[in-house]
Amino acid sequence: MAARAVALPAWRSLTPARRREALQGLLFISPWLVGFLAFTAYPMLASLYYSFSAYKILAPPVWVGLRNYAYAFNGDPLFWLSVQRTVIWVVVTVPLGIFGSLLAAVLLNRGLKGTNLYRTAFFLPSLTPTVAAALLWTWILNPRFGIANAAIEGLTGLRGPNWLADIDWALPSLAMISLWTAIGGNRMLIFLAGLQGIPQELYEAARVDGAGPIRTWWNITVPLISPAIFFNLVLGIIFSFRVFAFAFVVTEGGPARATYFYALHLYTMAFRSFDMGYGSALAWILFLTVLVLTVLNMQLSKRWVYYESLR
Amino acid sequence: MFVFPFFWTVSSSLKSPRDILTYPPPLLPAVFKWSNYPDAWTTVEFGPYFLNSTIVTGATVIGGTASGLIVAYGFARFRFPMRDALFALCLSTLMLPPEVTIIPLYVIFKNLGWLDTLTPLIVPSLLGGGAFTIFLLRQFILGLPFDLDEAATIDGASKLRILFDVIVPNAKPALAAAAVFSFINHWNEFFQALIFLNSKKNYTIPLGLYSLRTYAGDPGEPKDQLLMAGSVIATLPIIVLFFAAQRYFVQGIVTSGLKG
Amino acid sequence: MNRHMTRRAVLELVLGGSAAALLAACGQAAAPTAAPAATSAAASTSGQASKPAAAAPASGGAAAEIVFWPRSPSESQVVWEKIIPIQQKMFPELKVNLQAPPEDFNGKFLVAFAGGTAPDSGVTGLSAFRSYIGKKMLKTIQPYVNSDADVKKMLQDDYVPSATLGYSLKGELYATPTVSEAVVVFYNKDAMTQAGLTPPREIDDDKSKWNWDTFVEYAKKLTKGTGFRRERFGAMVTFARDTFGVSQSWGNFSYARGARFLDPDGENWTFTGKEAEESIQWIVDLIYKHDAHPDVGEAASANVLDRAFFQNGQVAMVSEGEYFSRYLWGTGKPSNGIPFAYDIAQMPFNPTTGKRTNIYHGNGSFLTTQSKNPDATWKWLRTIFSQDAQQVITNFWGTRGAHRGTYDSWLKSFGNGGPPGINVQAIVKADADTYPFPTTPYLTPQALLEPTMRVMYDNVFQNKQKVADGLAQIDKETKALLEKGKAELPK
Repeated sequence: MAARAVALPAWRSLTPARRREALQGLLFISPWLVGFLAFTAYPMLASLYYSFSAYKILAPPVWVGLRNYAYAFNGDPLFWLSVQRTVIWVVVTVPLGIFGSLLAAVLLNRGLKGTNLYRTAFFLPSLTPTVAAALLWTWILNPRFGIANAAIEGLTGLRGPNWLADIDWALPSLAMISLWTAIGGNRMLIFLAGLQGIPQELYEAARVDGAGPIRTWWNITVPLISPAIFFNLVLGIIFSFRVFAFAFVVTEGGPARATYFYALHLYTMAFRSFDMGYGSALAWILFLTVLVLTVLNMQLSKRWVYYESLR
Repeated sequence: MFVFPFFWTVSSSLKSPRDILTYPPPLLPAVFKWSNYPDAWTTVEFGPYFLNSTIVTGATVIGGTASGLIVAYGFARFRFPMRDALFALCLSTLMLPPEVTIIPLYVIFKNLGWLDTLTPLIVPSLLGGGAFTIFLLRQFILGLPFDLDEAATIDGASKLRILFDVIVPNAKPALAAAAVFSFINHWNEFFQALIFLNSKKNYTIPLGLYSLRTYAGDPGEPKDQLLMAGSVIATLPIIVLFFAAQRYFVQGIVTSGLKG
Repeated sequence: MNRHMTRRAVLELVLGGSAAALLAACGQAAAPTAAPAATSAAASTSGQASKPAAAAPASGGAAAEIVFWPRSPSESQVVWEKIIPIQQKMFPELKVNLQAPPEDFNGKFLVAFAGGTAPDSGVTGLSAFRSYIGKKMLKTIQPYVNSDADVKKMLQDDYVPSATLGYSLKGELYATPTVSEAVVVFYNKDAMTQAGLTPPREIDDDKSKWNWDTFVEYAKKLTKGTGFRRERFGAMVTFARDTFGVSQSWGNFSYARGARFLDPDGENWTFTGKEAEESIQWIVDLIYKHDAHPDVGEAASANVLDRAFFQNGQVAMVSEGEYFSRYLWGTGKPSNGIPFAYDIAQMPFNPTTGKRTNIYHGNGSFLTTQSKNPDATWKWLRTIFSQDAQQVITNFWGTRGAHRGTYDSWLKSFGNGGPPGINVQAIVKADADTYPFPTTPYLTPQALLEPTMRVMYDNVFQNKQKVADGLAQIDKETKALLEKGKAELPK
């Protein structure tokens, strides 16, 4: 209803043809709109309401204004700790992940023999179900029985680190697992699709013009796959802020909270401490942070993302 | 190096419980215990779970990708007030952790009488297929030149016809990718299935896999090797699908010929 | 509820809910959303202590179906599917629907509760009980017990007292005690012989011969080699990094020394003072001063449980709950068996107090406040009370049931198939000095013990922080948590 109030003046200024286009557009997005209103809007708004409430799940929520938010920023000893872990995670894994996937895609795009097989090989790690992957990695990185340390010992004669059990190694270990499983996954395939959409003629023309590989890369490849980079960047940021599964199943946030990510804190508060009100406040702080970053990203994207047909 | 974890999964799935904890870990099991596979299959009654997962995944992949395409087309090719805001809203649905929305969602499904059925795992996905699919397809459609649409419009094609005759043929790689991602997501979906399903007859494969996890306080024997076997079984359909979809990924994109 | 009405109701709910929350977002207090309203309605109708409609005799009563949630599918397969036939005999009109969540029992239980669709009954560890009671999720079964003379008598004569105590709060029973567990020392008999030591089972009632000091001497003599990959460690008393560490290993030493985590009603944190400090210091010394116990930093790492060490002969003595036998001769036995002879003794005495203790941590089957049919659910709980059902638990769970009448055959069969002559009697004897797992209505055990687990396993047991400093830190953090929990408990 608020939306209509804003939309109406804009609507009046439209020409009949543009109104028709707008109506058609709304019609096309209507499946999503209906789904959003039916299954997403209410749960989201309900959780927003919880975030301003004392809501212990088994008794109705009681409005407490900003108390949950105040406690998060000023009082909760684990809030800033989990924020710090998460920010490190995002800063490390997003660029490395995107760069790694892009590199893998470029290598696979060379059209060498057996590419199909390589592509599948790269993709495989991302297919293993989390519950199996978690067990698998605890085996591989197990300080005592694991094959990683057996290999290190065999090659160098030195003892490998304690990996997931070591306060300093746990987060890098998790990052390594995450990169290993994800580099060849969705991201790489999307880059690959982008790379293969680049017309060969453009490269030939560039060669005729005497452009070197670096200039070709920056002037042709990067602009043309920029929609894919943008896609992976936006989703990479969203999902890495929500990092949860591995830390939950493998390290449970430990040791000594070295991998106690924000989403883990949120889960603990909501489901372990029965504090859905505070959990919701944490969720909405996360939501706003990521939303701001995404909108910023969308704004900035106008400068560097090249669309064939953005209108 | 990338194949190693998968190799390790397969190798562990053939080990005896004792092999799993010897050091240094043998690359291959001392004795190939093929019986782990039928054991895993019967321990969790994979049969019905496979059927359930196939229903959920089949419906959501087809319905979700198709409706996602329609929605993405709307976002990419039409100008309307609040479009970017609505798109941001669409993306924002990915930003709120599901833990805090699960209870109201549960209440909706309870009032609809959908609990302990596959419906809540299917119906929401049929309406646009989720922000990930929409975003992916939108990005791709934006990469297709608008000249194509205009040429078709001049020929008198409706917007819907343009979608099917111009966009779809050009968007096959993206559609294949979206379908594969959607398949993986729904095939492995765990949290909602855990919360919404109660009866074993309605379980999906991930729930079956989790029931192979071993806890310290569980009666019964440790099942780690069965979990590995189960996860190989669960992964096989995705690998097969991926192979089948490969040719769409590499199928060159037709637009190149139309440029310049 | 009428199915036809609900669709419309939901539409209104969705739109109305959105509008209400929109208002809320604008800073106005809105009416509570539909979800919690539904919950509170359900809770308030079922929350009143309804008088049981006379504990029905075996044959009477209307046909009814109830939903029961075991904690995991394997538990359901191993035990509950065998108890259902007993129930069908006792109460043929009742149908029990087994629905075992494969994972995260607690999370699923919670969401179901919030949605007003909790199961009628379920089973959970003692440690979670009081937090569920505090949240008004469980309904006392005391009225049913009072009206059932047989059950009353069994509770008095046959059930392990600490089980009854553990599932009670302020004199009201909240569950059918289902599993009972004692803590003992499992030891490598061959290693004892090699080292020329008297097997502990022969001396475990003699305070001068089997106490913490002699235990240390044993552990030192049983140790072979140095470093983490040594041939054998003397002892392991820390378990993995888990709240079970309290009940299955190190916590028992603190209790024996006289320390307690909480006061009996779970109101206050009391794990301080020289009792706590000395008992923890003793463990730290066992690891670092006597070098007879695996490094906790490495051992507590993911998935290396003491059972793996013991099964491989890499540790000679472990303090563990009786469930451990499952990994020696039960269903979790390694396929090649255990390559050495082993036996069981009671825990060593603390020299100062002259005591040894057990922290009881079994499981119980409860009745939820959302059950629409408490009387039928009681029939199910009544079935679990029966000696026949308890016998199934004793025979198949891997840990005994709580009914002592089921132990005879268990003892005769050496704990269901243990090596002939093994001292399973020690397990039954160990029931004597038990205390319920430290729990509080104000917090979940994970929340309550989180500072303890973190400080103990990450710092103190790794010799990175002085015991007194660690205990002070735990004390401060836990007391703050308890205060917060008390302030937030629903009225």
